[in-house]
Amino acid sequence: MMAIGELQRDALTEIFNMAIGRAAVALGRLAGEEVRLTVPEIGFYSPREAAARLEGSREKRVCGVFQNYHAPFEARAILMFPEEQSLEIVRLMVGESYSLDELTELEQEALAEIGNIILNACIGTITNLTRVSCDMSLPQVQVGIEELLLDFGNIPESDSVLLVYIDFSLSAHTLHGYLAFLMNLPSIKTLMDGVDRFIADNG
Amino acid sequence: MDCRHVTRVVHVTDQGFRSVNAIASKVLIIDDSRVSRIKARSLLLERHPDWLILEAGNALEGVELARREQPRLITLDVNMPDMSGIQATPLLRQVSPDSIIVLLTANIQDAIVAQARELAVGYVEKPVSALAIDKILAYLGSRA
Repeated sequence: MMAIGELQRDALTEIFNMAIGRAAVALGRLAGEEVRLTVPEIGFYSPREAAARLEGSREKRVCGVFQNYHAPFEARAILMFPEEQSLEIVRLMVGESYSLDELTELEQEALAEIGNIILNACIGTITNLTRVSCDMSLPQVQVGIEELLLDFGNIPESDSVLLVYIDFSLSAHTLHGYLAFLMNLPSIKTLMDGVDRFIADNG
Repeated sequence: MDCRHVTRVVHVTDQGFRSVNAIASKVLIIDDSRVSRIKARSLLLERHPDWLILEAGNALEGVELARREQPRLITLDVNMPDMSGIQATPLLRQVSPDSIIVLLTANIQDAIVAQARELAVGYVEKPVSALAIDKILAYLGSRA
């Protein structure tokens, strides 16, 4: 399992704090209300453990959006909501004047765009702070944890996966969701080089 | 209430709206997200109900529409399938040289902001909101 120093862990947490904060600003602007966040939970797990952690804390099915990032690191960022909230999320995006049929028609596109905005706010902040820039896929909407994790890097079970996990909720709506980031071992090393640069820049 | 102060504020605002209104009557929104196009259209028409709003769902469609319609303002997403907004910008300049282009994107990476500066186009972060549209209109006003 990957081991990092205390200062590196502290800096990694700070970077993700800022990244999630930026994502919360974007979500707040989209929704027109305050977004509450938990402290990011950061850990290194085997791929199976990471999947179990994502699955195990949920009772119901989730829908979500994922985006893959590559060059210089391979990562997947996932935005998840309980499946039954998906149309409410869409309504946040397009406003109150749409019927249920119209919302359903727009659902996939709206979820993809929400994912695009939130995930890019997060990853963009991380890449800016660590002084890298990365390529990204277009956002993809999926239902179910297995589908959201599908084919991520075909990571061997012996490898480490960095899992960062945040709960968020919107104050005026009964809406909540989760953000997760997955990164394989070679990419973690690239990220930690960036974390070291962040430490040097801020030391 | 100081009525002189209110009169000055209204005068500046009124001038601001008139100058932007005179500048742009045709806007092209290029974005693969239909939802973002819907939102941008709605917010632009709220502010300028007499403007003509055109839409394209990808860069190539946008370039063709720009060539035909010569819009005064183009809002341009960056991350799109087949061709990015960054790649499309020189093509848009070729076919519609008088258009003012603003990147409207979720991609906040410094590299993209730097590319926007190098291309001399505007840059506004998503989500598409009243704040974002007002920033775009302020950019349009400053470039007129």
